[in-house]
Amino acid sequence: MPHVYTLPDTILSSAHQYPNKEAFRCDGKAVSFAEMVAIMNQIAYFLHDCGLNKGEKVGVYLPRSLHTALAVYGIMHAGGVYVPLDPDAPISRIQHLIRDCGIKILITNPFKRRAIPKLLEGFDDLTHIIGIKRETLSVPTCSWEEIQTLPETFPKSRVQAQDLAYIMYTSGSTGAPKGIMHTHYSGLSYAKLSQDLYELGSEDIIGNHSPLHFDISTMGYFTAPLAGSTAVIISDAYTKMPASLSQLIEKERLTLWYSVPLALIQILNRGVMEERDFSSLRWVLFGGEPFPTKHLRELMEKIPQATFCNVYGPAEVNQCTYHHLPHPPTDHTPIPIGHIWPNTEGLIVDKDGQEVQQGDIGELLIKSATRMQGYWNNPELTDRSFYKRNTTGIEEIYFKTGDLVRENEEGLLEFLGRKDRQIKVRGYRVELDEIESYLYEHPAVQEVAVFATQGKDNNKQIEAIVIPKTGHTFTLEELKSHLTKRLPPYAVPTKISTTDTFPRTSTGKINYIQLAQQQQLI
Amino acid sequence: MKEKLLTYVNETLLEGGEENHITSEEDLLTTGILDSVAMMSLVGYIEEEYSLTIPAGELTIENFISIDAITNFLSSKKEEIQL
Repeated sequence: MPHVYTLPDTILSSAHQYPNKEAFRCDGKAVSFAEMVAIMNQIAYFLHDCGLNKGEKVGVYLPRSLHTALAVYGIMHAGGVYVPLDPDAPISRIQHLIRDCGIKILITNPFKRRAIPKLLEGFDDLTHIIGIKRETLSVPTCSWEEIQTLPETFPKSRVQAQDLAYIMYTSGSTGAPKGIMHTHYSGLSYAKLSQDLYELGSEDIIGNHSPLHFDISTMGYFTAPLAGSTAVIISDAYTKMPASLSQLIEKERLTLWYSVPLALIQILNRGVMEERDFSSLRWVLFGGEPFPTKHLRELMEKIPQATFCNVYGPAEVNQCTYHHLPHPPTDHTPIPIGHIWPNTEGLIVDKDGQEVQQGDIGELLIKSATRMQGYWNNPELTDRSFYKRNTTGIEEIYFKTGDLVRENEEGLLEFLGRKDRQIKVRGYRVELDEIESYLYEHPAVQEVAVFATQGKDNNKQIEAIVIPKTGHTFTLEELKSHLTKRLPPYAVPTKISTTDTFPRTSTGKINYIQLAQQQQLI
Repeated sequence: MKEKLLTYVNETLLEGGEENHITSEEDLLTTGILDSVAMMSLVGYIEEEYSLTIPAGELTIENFISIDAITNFLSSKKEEIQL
């Protein structure tokens, strides 16, 4: 049986054990482990033919689909590094990421046919596009049908565990997104730890709700093949229609669900749960942001046989803690993030880097096999995000999460907020400073404050207030469109207004707390 | 009805961006043309415009995949719709 040292080895190994078992399913179509091997060979063959060298980046510009799984494994099998590009992000942001990490080859499908010509307009970084066929484009293209006529064997590449496997971009506070670099080793470590913790095997059917550019997707794309489970990729259409989404859980007989709380709240509110059979669910995992206890209680009561687990971990370490809820929450106390999972160590430190007493608040630092290698092309930021200590002659590296936590009397970790101005919107990380820096690029903006308030249904919403430059006129629509062209949809403020003055602290800084309180009252 | 819905999607939800204009048979859900927030705005618009409440169980992919599908779905509810 093939050994598993790299992520594509999980497919080879499962194909050996369960060749005809379905590895991925999406929208009624499926691909078996044996077929996965054939197609990932074909993609690797083609990438090699395009001149892709080991360690080079390939963009994955796809909505949730079977193509996504094929692209990810084809790229890694060829020795390349896959870079998810949010299919809903503005074109200028996609171009920025392509340039930032030197992508030459893009994998897409016909659903993005409208976007591709716009992407190529005045932009000549790409040399090949895989997944759509169009003679009129300025670069050579190759359709999925053509890929599947290529040889089904590819010499096993010399990929090692410590080689890069993927780069996931996230909001950066200086205005440029930062690329989190993961190796085959860190990706596979996550897959092994999560397989063990949730006791996943070949009987499991894992619902993959998250898009590829969100780290929650690694459960479906990595853990499922390692465990020989089937991953059901939930296509974009289902994520927008809760009644169809709940139908999918029943029809696909999912045994594990993993998503941000919002998706589960939508199922609860509009998924006609009383008409659906959820008896196949063994696990319901949620992460990305806190789950409002009122909704969680209701949901747990409706799916009594499933174990609910609060998952915590920044994308830099993937997952690092878990909390299995012993019973539905009885009050409004936030759900703990729980215990640090195996093969991982945590420290809670004060602002001087000293460990705090048990029960005191501090920043959580994590040392784990799942830790990223660093931020792409940013050794300085990487260095700042690591805490290194050497007490035994061997250097230990911890990732500084920036999250404030406390260990409660039962030994469970509680999440208490951020050290900086990062927030979560629908589970996505958003740096408020990044939005401000884009607003400052607008010629009519004198000063700006961006902050979060509680919107409808307890959801966070982003607001921006601008002091205009004297002599400049602009409309609020203009400012909104300025941001829409630069930021992913979830990071664009829901409300933009103007003012002539901000409340300030004694040192002259904008008083964000007072500002948010004022807005909340309007 | 079809024209009215198309106008709403193109002018209001897609903010009139000409290159984004959709046709009535186009897939609204898979391509990323409308996100989940825009989809809910469209449902809200239909409910208000035709004075009806669409039960949660009928908010499905089949009924809302395209403007054509929505028009067919609404035609099947003719008796409830006050035009």
